[in-house]
Amino acid sequence: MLMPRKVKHRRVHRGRLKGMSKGGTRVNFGDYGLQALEPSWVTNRQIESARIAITRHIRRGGKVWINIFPSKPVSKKPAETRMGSGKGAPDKWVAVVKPGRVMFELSGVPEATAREAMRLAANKLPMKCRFVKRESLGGEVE
Amino acid sequence: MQRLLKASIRKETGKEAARRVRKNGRIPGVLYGHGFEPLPLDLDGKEFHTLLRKKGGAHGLVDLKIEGKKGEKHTVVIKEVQKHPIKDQILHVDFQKIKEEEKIHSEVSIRYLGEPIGVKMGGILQHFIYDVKVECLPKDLPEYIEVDISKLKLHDSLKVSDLPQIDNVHYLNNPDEIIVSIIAKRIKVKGVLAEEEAAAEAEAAEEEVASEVAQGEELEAQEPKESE
Repeated sequence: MLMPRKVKHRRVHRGRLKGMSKGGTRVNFGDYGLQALEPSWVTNRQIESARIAITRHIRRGGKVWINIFPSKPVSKKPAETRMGSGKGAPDKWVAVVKPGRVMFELSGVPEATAREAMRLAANKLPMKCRFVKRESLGGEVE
Repeated sequence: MQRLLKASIRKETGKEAARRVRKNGRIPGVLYGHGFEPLPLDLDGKEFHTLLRKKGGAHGLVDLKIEGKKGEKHTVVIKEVQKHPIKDQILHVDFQKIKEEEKIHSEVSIRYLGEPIGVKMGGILQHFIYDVKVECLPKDLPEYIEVDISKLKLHDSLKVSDLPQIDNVHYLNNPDEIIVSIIAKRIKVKGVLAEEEAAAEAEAAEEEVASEVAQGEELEAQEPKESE
């Protein structure tokens, strides 16, 4: 599963999820993409689950790009522990995703297959998503 | 044939004024160029969308007619189109005024002719770049570049140096940069991919077991507390 090889700080502040994604809002590598419509943290388990859903559906052929990386550690205190005694141990890794971010990209498959693969992947993710196409394929420009 | 677009001068600038312009169904923009004072503009949203759908799209030359300034006409290129991340609404457009005697840098889209042999054999056509950067005089700017890819076999690639040479047009991309390549599909060979899948499934199963064990340990740890 995706996680940083080494980090500068084992525990970080939670931060805030406000505003739109500043970059990575267009399909750049593949022909089709899955775009986030809501802000959320996406864990490395969710990313892996979505990736497996895509690759299993497209079976042979096609190429998948993952444009998000879970670089933020989230800590958790053990169950039934009293408050205090410092911050909990790192529990999971998350990617901070804001609305507009194209999280997965896909190429080399027909549009119908790509749509279904992205629908299955979106079911594994914690936010509302939509299917997007590369601009030269008639997508994004309404 | 150059495309025509009408625009009017925008008197107010800043985000509040730009928002007001967008609310009226128009798009704020700016016109600038070499030795030309930047001019804030606004243009009709529907007209601009129609222009983008026409042949050439966001590339190529456009005749920009400015209303209210004695019908002043400028030959421009669309330098940048800013879009909303979700709404697909165009937020702002940059136009660059060009001089006929000055060379310009622009992006031109690539169009492919034919179906590659490699794809017929079961390969995948993978695109690396969709537009190529060119330097030329405005009059020589091509609307698009057509290239025949029907002879590409499996594992072949098309580089920038393989693009057709057009008179007075110079490609700015690295000549070794790959535009498209034909890659082989992952074919299920007994014992190879099956092993990979089995390994992945086993890994997932191990994780599940590990999490169950961890939960069990937690429960065991809780039990004595409860009895106390």
